[in-house]
Amino acid sequence: MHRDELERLLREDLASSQDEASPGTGKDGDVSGASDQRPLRKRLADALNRLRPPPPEVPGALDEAILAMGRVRLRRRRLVPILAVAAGVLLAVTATFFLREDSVVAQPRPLDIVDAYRLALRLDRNETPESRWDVNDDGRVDEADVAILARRAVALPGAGDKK
Amino acid sequence: MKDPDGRPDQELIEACRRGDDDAFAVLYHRYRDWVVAVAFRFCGNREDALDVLQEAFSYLLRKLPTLQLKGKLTTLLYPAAKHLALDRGKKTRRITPIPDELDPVGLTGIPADARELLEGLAPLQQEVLGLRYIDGLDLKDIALALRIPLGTVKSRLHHALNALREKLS
Repeated sequence: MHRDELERLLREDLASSQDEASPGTGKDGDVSGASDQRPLRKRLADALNRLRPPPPEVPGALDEAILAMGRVRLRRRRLVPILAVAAGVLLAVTATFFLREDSVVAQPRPLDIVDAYRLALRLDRNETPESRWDVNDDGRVDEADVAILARRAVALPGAGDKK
Repeated sequence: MKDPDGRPDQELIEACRRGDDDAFAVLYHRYRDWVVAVAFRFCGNREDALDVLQEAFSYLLRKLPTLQLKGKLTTLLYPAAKHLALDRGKKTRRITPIPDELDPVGLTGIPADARELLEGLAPLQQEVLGLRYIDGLDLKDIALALRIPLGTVKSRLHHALNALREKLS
């Protein structure tokens, strides 16, 4: 494409497309969509496009480096949801264990082996558990209550406490 | 910019966000040559253009988590490649003095006769013409790439074409 030809195309194109590029024309700004269907405008675009210098060739090693960078970063992204779920599960388990006593107060629930274990730990540390842990109603909280809790926790359904 | 994978850019972006590195490869091959060409137009240096290519796709990867495309990916890659190339040009100029001024509208790589034709235009008009006719972007994508209203794009293109007409008459 030489300048003469480009000039001729531009002249013809400008003469035919003056209104098209006017501000405010075109539906939703899609002036280009209509113009591309016009052979002359298309030829002009092709002519100008051919003026582009050939871009520098991209070495294969650079392709590989950029694609490898993408792989590394996107794989890291793939791990994020997995790690988030794992962290959530860990948090839930931890919360279940450490906040259990609060949830007993907030909402009564069947006591289980973790309650027995926690009670045993507190007695072992010479703490004084609340009177609600006195499950055998003997007026004190001690190993006997732990044993009852543990026995109930592992009892088969319907077996009940055997005396 | 034809490629065997016909998925639109936004779909490929979503796939990338899910960790699909094949989708990233499709985007890379779809826009690689275009990004290099834009970078080369703005910095006029082969090595810098290749560095800009790497930085532009690194920028894309960083933007992925929040990226919401309103047009083609060119609307993100064009300003990125342009500014990275101009920054590179400035750095290069600090290290090795270059006689020519930096080319803020990317005419460096265009043959002399066409450059002469375009150089009489205001820089902003040159840029819009380049994006429209050299890069083949539609007006909406030009507006997004330059972050200006669509009406401004039409206005600049209109004035650029009129200026060219006067230049040629």
